[in-house]
Amino acid sequence: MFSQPNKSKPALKPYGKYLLITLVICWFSLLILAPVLGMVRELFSAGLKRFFTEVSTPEALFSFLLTLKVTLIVIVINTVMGILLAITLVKHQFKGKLLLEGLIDLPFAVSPVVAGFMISIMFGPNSWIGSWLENFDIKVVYSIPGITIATLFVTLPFVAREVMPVLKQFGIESEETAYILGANQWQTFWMITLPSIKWGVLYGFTLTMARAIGEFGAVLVVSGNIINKTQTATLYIHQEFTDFNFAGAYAASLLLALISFIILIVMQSFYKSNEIKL
Amino acid sequence: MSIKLTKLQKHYGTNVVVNNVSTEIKDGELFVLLGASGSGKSTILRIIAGLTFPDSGSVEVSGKDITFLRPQDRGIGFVFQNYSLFQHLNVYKNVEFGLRIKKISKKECRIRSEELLDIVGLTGFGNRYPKQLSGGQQQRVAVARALASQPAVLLLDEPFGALDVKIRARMRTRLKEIQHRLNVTMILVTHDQEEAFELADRIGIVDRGHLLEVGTPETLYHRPRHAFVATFVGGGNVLIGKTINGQIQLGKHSFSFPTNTPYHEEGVPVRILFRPETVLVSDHPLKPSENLYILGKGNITDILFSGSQTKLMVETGELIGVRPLAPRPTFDQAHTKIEIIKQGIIKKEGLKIGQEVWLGIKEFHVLDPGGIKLLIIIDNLQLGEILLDFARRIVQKALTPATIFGIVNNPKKINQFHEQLTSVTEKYFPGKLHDKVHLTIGKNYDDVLIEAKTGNYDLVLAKMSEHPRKPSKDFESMISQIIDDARLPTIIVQTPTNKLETVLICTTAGEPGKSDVRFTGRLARRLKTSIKVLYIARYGLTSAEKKRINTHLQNSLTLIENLGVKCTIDIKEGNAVEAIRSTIASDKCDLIVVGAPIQDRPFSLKHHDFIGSIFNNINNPILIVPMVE
Repeated sequence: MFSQPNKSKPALKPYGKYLLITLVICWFSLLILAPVLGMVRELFSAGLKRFFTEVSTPEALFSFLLTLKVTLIVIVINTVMGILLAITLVKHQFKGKLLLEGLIDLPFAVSPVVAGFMISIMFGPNSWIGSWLENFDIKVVYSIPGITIATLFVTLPFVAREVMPVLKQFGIESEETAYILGANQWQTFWMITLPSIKWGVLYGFTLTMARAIGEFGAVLVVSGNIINKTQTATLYIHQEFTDFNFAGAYAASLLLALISFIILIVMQSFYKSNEIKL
Repeated sequence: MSIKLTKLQKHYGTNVVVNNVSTEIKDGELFVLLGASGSGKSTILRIIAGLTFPDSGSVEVSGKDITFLRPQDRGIGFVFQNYSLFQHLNVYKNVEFGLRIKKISKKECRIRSEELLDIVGLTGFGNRYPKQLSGGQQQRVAVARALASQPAVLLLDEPFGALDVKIRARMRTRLKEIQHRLNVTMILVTHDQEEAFELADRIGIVDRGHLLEVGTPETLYHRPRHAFVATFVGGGNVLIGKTINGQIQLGKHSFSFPTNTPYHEEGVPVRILFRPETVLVSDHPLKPSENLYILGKGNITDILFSGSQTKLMVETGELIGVRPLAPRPTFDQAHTKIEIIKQGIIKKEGLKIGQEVWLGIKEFHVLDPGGIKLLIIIDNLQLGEILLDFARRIVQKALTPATIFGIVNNPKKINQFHEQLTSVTEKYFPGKLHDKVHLTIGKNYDDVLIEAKTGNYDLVLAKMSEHPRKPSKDFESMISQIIDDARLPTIIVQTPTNKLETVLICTTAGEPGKSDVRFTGRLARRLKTSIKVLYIARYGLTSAEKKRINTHLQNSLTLIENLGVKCTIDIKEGNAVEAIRSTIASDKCDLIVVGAPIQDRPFSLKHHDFIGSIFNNINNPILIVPMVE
């Protein structure tokens, strides 16, 4: 028999509750709100017009466009690969599975700078792959393919890690039911499996996007940071900052933060509106 | 449509899940597979659905072999235990899923799904999502979805398992109605006996991968063939008497065999079943008549009142030499207990606990003759002769069937080995005895293990290879697995043995064995040998320990003597090997019995110090009995 919860003694006394809320809000403000507000204030002290001129320089526009392109490619590849990876690891038994499962988290564990170096070494002109690719006039390091590979590397675990537990919980019986009802594997995946794991996929997708937009370390090492050629948004901000153009750095930073913020808000509202059904 | 299963077999490694299952299910029949959880019944269902492929055997639907057909192409409906509804689709879309796959127009789909929702009683629920339905409603959606494509066969895996008792009863009625209305062949898997009896046209009883018996509920209840079925289905009394002068000897009473009873050889045990409601209780002595078999007098030990009926337990001391199988006797039980059910109120008759009553049975049923089925493992012909010589004694005395399992590693030598084994077998099992043995050849010890698990054996016989003191690692691991995994008692023969007259059961410190005493009692009863039970205390005993051990030995003595087997008991202190040696010498014991305890790590001959030391020092054959509670 279940014991009745003790109603005379709530988990937290009222003042305890308010103390907790105040503490959380203070901590949150100090850590997140204050820097954002500081940045906004810095920028607007110079005027709104300055913001637009700063973000519409050709270099700035180029860097944002590059980030957008790379992010798009990375999202598509890593969402598909992440789902495949999750399905393979959850549904199939094979030799080396444990090793693969451990290696998935490697991009989380390794510093992005180190990851950048690993890619530089692997695809550099002195490497076997690098020299072979050069025969076809393909340059990886100090060019856009390198940036893409570096971003793919650091965002690899997100979709797989979000989908795996959902897939495990989903089990196999719904799919077996679909087979018995006549659906082939492809139909079963699209009509049954994917809709059931879509929240995991979407969450992984959001995290991948946010990380791809914000990636700095790995990209810095691989890209060579060439203005108007391999400079992404984060690299541009870094450049402006080291060149003492603080207004430019603030403007670009604010824009980047805004983009990420919008993505998160859209995802959140999407999630909330569908929560009732699940 | 009719379904035919032929010799279905499925293993995972040496773990046998489905074992030689053959049966036929008729068109429009509601067939129930009944068995305990883990018995393999769900795997049989999955094989029929095509979700699992068998290692061998075939599945036919209306004469067409579908064993390896994809589940998509079988035209079979399946309802899982947890329904596995598509959570992201509403009821309409769940039911219409199979039809939409078949590219049937939306309009037609909706007409069909409305019709099905009407059949299962869920009209108006079409736009709800699974999460918004109760368990019973979800289950009905699953049934409607499975029926949508008009399957020839509907399979249901524990369909009522997750529902509460009241809803369950209502669902059963509804399922039966649907079955009548659509005339679809149904196979339902359950562990619930009441459910099986209420629903089934016929029931198949599944035990450890075997389809033991198939029959109508009525047949399985009144005329089962196996003891497992008799005790699994309904409450019942199963007593084991003996065939003497062509009659059933039950204690001091003797009945003639009913007509249509399978043949029993002279001297073999007879297992008789009578249901609790067929027992007559009287407060005065009963006179035998044509329809009344007298069991004798006893005392009421228990009265359980449950509304429309009352259950009585009566203990009777008149059934000496009878082994009770059900109700399962407790270890310290001196007398046979009989379960009786009386309909209606019995107060008026004034039955009280402790009262002396006379018992008679109005009818009884004789089960198929059991036996102690032997598996004899021969991996070396020369040494094997010693084993065959020993095995012959058991087959001769117990009149029991045996399988001789020969092992040849080299495939080229199979024919040669088979010939040699045949001639050796003829030498040791001449004439009529030869009909009792059956020869099989396998490649390695893994084959032996699978045979041990699939063959329904009761006892394994093996011979220690060339170096009795140092068994090969494979041989040892096989024996250990037969004991530990297949849980079969195993006799290991070491040197030639001349006779088999006295059996010595050795128990030692720790929990004194019970399985060893029970099994040895059963074996000795068939082999007509006497038993000596010896407790070996390695250290000096406190008086409390002495008392406990004495009780245990006394209980063993009572249990064995009740079986009609002569028995003596003894306690010895000091070195185990010395104690056993001196007992063998003084009591002329031939077979040593030890219990292999249930323990965390796998049982191993070598690493078990007590059993290991007996092997190293004593040459007699040793019977190791796995402990089961």
